[in-house]
Amino acid sequence: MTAHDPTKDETDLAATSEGTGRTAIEAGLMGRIVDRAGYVFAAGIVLAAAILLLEVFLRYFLNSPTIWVHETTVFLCGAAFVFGGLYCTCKNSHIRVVLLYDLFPPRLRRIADIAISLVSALAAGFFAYAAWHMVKRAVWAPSGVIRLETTGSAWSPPTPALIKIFIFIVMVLLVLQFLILAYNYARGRTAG
Amino acid sequence: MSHLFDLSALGIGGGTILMFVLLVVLLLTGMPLAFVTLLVALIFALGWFGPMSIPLITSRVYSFVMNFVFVSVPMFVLMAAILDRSGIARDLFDAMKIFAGRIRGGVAVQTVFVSVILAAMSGIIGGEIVLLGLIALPQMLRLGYDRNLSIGVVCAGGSLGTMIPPSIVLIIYGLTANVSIGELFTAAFFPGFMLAMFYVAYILFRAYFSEGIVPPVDRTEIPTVEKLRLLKGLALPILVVAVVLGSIYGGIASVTEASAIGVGGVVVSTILRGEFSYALMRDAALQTLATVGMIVWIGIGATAIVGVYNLMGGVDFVSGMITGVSDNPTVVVLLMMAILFVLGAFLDWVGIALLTMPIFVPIIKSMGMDPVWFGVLFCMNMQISFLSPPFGPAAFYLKSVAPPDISLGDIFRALVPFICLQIIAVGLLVAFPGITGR
Repeated sequence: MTAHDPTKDETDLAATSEGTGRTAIEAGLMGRIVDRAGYVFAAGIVLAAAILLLEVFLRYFLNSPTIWVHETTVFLCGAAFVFGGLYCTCKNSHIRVVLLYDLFPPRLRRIADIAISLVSALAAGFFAYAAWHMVKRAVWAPSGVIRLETTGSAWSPPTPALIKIFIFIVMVLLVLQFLILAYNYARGRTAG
Repeated sequence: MSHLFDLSALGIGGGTILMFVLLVVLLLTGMPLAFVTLLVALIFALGWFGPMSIPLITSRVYSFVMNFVFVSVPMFVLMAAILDRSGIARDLFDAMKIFAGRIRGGVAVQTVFVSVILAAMSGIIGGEIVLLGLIALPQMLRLGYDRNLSIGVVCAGGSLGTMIPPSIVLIIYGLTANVSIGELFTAAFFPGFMLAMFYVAYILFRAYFSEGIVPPVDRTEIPTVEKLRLLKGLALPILVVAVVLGSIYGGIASVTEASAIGVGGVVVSTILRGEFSYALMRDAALQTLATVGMIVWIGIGATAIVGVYNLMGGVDFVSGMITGVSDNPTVVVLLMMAILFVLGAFLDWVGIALLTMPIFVPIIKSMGMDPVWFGVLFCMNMQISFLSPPFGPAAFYLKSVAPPDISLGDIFRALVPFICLQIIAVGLLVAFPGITGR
């Protein structure tokens, strides 16, 4: 269990599976857009760190804890977690067992790539369907009125509804991304 | 049930086998673990319970993603990512030279101590092994250290990142097992240090009893001015470690807040060192996004499949099988260690933690044993999984920066004695739970 390609000789930190790696060429235009969008969510993590520091400062030095820090950081990181799945898909950096895969000849490996992408698209599609049920309950009241689910705290932001909608959107995007990957693997071209 | 296929007709035994076979077959094709587990979870949810069970999975996934304690994971990863990109580790290595210069095998010992300090600033291992591979390995090879010893020290030392607090392995364990992460960190400190001392003892033993393993001691005196300059490299890392671990152990901040304080600490360090830049911060943040994306999505898949399996009655089924092996708790624990050891050779620790701990921890609790101790034991066991072939990640991390004439086979061979030391450490932890201080 390692990075998808343990044989490549790179000396930068991206060479580890804990690194960023590069966006797979087969991910196409969508992969490049996702790569760019990653900046926003990465910035979200940094912002969450800054907000947490602010909270510690406010509480210990000014003795005035806030009511919004907890939910804001959970929201920022939650969004980054969910998006991270799409980000890793475009970079082909999800953890996988390459025990047999590495032994495959190039032809079989291409077939495996196509099959893996299609089956993963199916899994993501399944989950998008499941997430849609979750979204329905978080966004609409039983009467049919739009009512975003909130955290129910003193501040009570609608972050649960927003994250649930976001999970659904990312799942749909994942289906699309896996189909693009499958298509480009099948075409056997590396430009996309 | 009216749906197309009714898996519940298989019974729990058949269902377990089918699930296991599906997981293994899909994994072996090279499909990402996260999507394998998601797919199998959904197949079983629909096939066993029908569409009514779907909300169970989604709500589990939602609560997994929206968890305040989990926020500490990106923070510790970000901290490590910034650290790896700064020159802090290099200066630290140079500074440790003052202490280790006079003994045989000094540079190797120095490497272990640098790893321990780096480990106390970082909860992941990839960056640390790459750094040590870039800084310590070339120096040891140049000075004439035995190649196997040098490689082993770098890989084993670098892996301490997840043993010595703060450790992401312990955070994930704490979340799955519902155990206080502060307590886990406290309990893991001494065992982690003990493992590091095993490495030091092994290095010294080899250095003094085998000829030609290490070069003769360099007797040149380091001038006092130079010593003071080098010591400055030690000040910042020690300060950051003290603030982060101090605020957790001292109860000043929660683990999540302490992790953010750690990020603040390394950012301030890079600013003081004049290394801070937009590019450094951007790259570190992007690496964090990719790392947590990978970890969280394995978690999403694992939490889904464990949820379904639990509802099927599978957790009770497996518990019954494991506890049925013996009435002796130690035998049960050893069996679990053996299972973890085998899984560790093929799966990564996130998957193992999230898939097995929901089954193992209730057994441990029901046998009246301490889940915190078991967490440390698990963490120690995962140290072995980092090094053990065929998929010890530590070896791959090092391979990416090692000189080209060092093959993966060389690395794994070099790791054998260190794996033995880790197994001894696991054995000691099982035999003497008091090592955790509990």
